[in-house]
Amino acid sequence: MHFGAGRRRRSRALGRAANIAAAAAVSAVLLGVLGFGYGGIPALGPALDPGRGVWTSAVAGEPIRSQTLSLPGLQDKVVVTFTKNGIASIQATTDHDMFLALGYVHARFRLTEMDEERRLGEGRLAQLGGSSDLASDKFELRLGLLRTAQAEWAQMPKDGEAAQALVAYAQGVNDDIAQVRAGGQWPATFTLAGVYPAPWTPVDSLVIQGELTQVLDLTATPLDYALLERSLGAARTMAWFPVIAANAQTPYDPGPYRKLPLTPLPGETVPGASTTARSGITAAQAQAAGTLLAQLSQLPAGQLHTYPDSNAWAANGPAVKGDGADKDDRALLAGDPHLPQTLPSIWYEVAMSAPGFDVAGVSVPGLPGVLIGHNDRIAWSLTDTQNQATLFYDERTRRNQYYWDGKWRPMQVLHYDIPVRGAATVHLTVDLTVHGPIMTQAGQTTSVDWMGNVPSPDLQAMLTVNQSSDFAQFKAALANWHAPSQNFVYADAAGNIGAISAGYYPQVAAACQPWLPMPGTGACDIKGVIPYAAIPQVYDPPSHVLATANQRPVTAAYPYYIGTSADFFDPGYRAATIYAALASAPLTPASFAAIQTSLTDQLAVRIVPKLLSALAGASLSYSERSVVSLLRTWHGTMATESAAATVWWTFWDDYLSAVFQPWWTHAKVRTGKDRAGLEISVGQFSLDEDLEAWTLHDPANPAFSLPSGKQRNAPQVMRQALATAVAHLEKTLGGAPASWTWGRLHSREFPAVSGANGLGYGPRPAGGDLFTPDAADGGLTAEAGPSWRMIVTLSRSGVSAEGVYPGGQSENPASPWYDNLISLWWNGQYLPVPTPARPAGLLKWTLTRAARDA
Amino acid sequence: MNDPRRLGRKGAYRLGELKSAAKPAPRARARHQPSFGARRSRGSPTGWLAVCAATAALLGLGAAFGLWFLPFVAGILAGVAPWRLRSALGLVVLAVCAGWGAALAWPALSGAPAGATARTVAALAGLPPHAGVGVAATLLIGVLQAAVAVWLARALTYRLR
Repeated sequence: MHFGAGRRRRSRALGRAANIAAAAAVSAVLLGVLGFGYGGIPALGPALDPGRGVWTSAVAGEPIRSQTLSLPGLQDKVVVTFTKNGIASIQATTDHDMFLALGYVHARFRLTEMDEERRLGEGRLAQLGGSSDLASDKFELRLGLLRTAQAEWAQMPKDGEAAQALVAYAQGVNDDIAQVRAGGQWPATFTLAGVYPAPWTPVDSLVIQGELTQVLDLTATPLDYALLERSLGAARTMAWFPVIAANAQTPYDPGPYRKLPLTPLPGETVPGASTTARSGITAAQAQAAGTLLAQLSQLPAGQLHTYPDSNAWAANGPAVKGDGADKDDRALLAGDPHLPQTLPSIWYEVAMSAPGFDVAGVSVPGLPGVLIGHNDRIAWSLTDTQNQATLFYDERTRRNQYYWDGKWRPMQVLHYDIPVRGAATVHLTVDLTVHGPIMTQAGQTTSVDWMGNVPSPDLQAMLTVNQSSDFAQFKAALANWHAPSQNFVYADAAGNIGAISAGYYPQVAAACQPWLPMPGTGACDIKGVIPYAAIPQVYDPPSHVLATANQRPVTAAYPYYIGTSADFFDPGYRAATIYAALASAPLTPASFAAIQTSLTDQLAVRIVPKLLSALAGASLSYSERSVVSLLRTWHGTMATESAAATVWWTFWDDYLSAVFQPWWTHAKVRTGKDRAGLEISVGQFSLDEDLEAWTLHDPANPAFSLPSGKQRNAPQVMRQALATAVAHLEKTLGGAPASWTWGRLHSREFPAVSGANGLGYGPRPAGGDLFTPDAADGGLTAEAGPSWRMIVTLSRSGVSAEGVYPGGQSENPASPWYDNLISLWWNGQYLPVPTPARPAGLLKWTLTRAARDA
Repeated sequence: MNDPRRLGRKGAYRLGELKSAAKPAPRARARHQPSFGARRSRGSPTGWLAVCAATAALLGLGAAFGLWFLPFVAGILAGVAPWRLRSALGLVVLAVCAGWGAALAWPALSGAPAGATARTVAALAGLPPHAGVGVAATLLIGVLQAAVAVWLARALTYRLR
């Protein structure tokens, strides 16, 4: 009995000790995790502190009020006004102050977006987001946006306008960062992660410029071609994915063209012209292509060129409705760049003025200047040229050497340390050949030579465009613009219009095939670029209208290679709709607005009559007969409430599959490697173009038959595809065909850049598709489309513009300016674009020199 | 004879008859309390409320200075105090909710969009994007600290109580 009491005492003592140990351990772990974070878990203690943590970001969400702010670095007073919708106008007395104020305003409203963008390009995203962003960082550091930006900054004359603008702009951003740091009122993302932005530098701005090039021009299409050729064979690949599209298109520059000697690249040594004969894509090349495509698939959405982007057009003279003395000197210009539609938007609307500088439009947070807009004499907008400027090379390697121009040469080796939030720093080694970075060594060592690795004085060009007053100055300003290649559409107050596709057009030997990975021995190196005088361009066309919608800008007679039908150019349906609408002169801003919001699918307009003809006399079910009657009265408008639109879209998708899928299955095409580039679906442009052309003009094309040899023709396959589509819709939507409205199938969504659920907009039923001028790209839940709509009226009496973008000026979801412009955009409405001379704002910031600068 | 054991004792006889003694008053029932533990006072409710209010004020003020760990300190103090577990725990939980809640509500009084910010915080943290979730997550951080601290304090002072 005595012995039992002792045991109980010891047992109780042990229990108490265990209790103390457990309480101490849990306390230590809890405080440690809350105070310092663990792995991917941020330090939630300070982050969620109600007084100093993430909650302080509420202050930045408060409505702006008029105030005086003291900024270090200013030379004089600057006035910034805001409209009730948040559109900013900056009035400064020097260029320096104007750019400083722009940097400050950008950072004040978009600091998180700017920091995330530079991190993305500089391979520092994992420091903020953790190991899930490591693949993106590795890819970007290999690709080299940072190296290009550093080279650009090193080459830039420091007393030049661009460098001065970058330095002043960085000062403005840093003024905001200093204010935020002093107040402890960081945007929520930083506080939650416990990672705060470093001071802004000019190189950061140049990295963001490089990202635009990546988004608009970096393409994986040569890798897709390699996989297609490996499975379908060379002949069939080039027949179905040809250089010149199979369908009829409307280039804005119809010729005649000039064949001029190539402009050599500065500092480049080009080996002799001997060309190695090609012997088809090997298994190793296909493996390398597949591995590289897998790498690309891990990039954040929108970081690889996926969709053709944008519309821009202009009209002048008799095509434009006018009255009074300047009746014949009027011009109209419209622009709507199609990009990923996110919250916040890629754009920040602003008007800026300083002596000799008077410009308004949309700017890119992170960059000084207005990218699309107008000054008091001219207006301009951009569309992506879509030419091929991403070339892949198969390198012969041994140890750290590669074989080029007859010799083994050492690779240049670069080392990077990638900080990762909540994990150890990762080391990355990047090997460079004369072509560019080695992107993969799986199977076949492959390097990439793309326009983003070419230093491009874009900023100087854009600042000169901002100050140009006629086409000669405009064109001269763009002579040094390399990347991204853009169709610059122009109009001026004297009633002139024009367009020029400024950019970088690399040329290789004629025997080489740049749409495939090429030998890296030197035989297929870039020999030079198309000279500026010979690039696509037009000025005051006799038709008095011009339009670019990413269609091939020139005809098949153009004497240089600029890309193939696959990915590089739009199939031309938007351009065709725009040109058709521009033919109905006289044109007005209202008619331009109607074109920008047009939901006409030109492919449907062309194909539906053929479909109805194929169905005539055929034995149809009740539903099929209902569908036919819907299509008979339909004019190709992809409206939300249109049931015919649903039928058309589903039919076209099934038609593509019915024709091509048997061949894909037979050839074992590895679509899983890159669904966007290899899968049979609407938007695989070469196939859309082929099928359109064959349906209209070659209904007995062998592609309609089956690989087994069974003969089929276009009408037979169309009937089969329609039956499949109707059965599919009956199953998924049910009810009568009249109830199959497009809005039940198709929606738009503007996701938050942060990726956080609940901070985006939508999805919401929406009209349009990727072939309508009001484009909806990205599948049945569209996430890309018109990111800014602008219409400018120009005459000798002045320049005025209206515009709108889907989003808001502030990135703070708590701000009234976070998504306040979406409803206007959605309803096809516009706001006047304020000009510095006519600031529309009531709210005013007076920016003054800081006391220590005075 | 009611009780022969009382014979001859003082007060046992009344008017010639044997009377039974008055029953002793029952002892007050002891509160359930282990004999080896120190006696713990419940304290007055007013005092408890006053301490709770003061703690809430300190926590709210501390939050303004970035002292996010104050709920832990408050939990330790409450755990050491001569209160029952329920009282100590209730005090700190209430104080954290009131103090941090007031700190969260304070910006809203000056017009800051606190609700929208709470929703943003919840969304960015990967939680359901509702304002209540953001607020609840924040309060949970404080309550968790306080509760663990009470546990630790009581474990350490077990012999003293």
